[in-house]
Amino acid sequence: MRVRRKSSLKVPAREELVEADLVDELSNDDLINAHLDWGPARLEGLKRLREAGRPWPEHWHWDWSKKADLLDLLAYHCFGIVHGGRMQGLMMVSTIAGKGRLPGQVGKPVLYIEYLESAPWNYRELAEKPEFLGVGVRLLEAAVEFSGEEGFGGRVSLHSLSQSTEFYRKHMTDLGLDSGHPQGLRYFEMNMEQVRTFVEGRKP
Amino acid sequence: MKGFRMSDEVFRKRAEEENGSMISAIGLAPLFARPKDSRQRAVEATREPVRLAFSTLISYRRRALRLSIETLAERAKVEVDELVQIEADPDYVPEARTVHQLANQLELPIPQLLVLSGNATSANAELTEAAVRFAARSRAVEKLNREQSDALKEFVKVLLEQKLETKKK
Repeated sequence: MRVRRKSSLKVPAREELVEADLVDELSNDDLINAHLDWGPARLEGLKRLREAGRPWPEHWHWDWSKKADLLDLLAYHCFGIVHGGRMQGLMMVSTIAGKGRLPGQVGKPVLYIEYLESAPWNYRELAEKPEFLGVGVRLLEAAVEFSGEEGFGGRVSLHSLSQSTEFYRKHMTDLGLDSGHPQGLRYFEMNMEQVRTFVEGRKP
Repeated sequence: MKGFRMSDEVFRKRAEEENGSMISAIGLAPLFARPKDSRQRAVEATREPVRLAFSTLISYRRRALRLSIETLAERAKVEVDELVQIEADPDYVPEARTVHQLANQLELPIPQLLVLSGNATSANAELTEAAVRFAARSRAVEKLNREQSDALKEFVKVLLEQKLETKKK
């Protein structure tokens, strides 16, 4: 694991940001350690959901350590946000899986986000009070940045779980349910104009 | 937009917008790496809320048709124990034959019921989303009616009596 650059996260109801590291070049051990660290908090959250009769998040079973084999492929890159010695969020992107579908960028290379997830203590479905806000924003920012470095102009795309669409709809274009995806998830894409809006803080 | 990075001010705003909401995305990679495994994972991903929807649907539909568990079990030629388990245990997967018979008696579409029960898979995300919504709504606000309340009291009474008898031993 290598510190790519300094980053930060937000503490709920406080103005100051806490320092965090944006990391890349994650090893199999890094992913396994993150998974082991997330396990107890995830189980505790799921237990609470079950007692409340609420549905479980669709990705409750995800095991990042099982995705480690993709790390050996040159086209895949894994990023993480670390604070306090703990992995706060993980993302895996591919430089070969994405082709633009939005009008104006059809067929153009797009950085495709294969997986994205925050630690269970950072989202409301599992934790009563999230510890840190902005994990998704920081990872999406890292994806946009990496897309720029790869010559993709910041363009990114992904398939969102149904419980996460609200977040992506704020920053990307919802191209609807994708029959080409194994779960038929919604496909989202961000063009260069949306990248500028996202990074510069303008209203869409 | 130098380097595609946002200022602290913009980040604060974006982080507040995100506000601890779920941000999970899952892609296509497992598909071309190990097609069969990824399909299995896709099924696993939606299993829990869909199963909850299935057990709740059977229970609600039976009650809407004013059928007792015994009556439905008899008409569908299903063991009472199994019907109780179907309604109470979202992890229980009944045989396809049982699902067929329940679907016929409850006047519900067989293919959809096979998917919800875990006997078949479908790429129909709308069905999954609807099942998740139904499970969430029905389980979160479920309130006992008088009959259920009486049954509960009766059951608790028996439980208490059993406990006393155990003590006597």
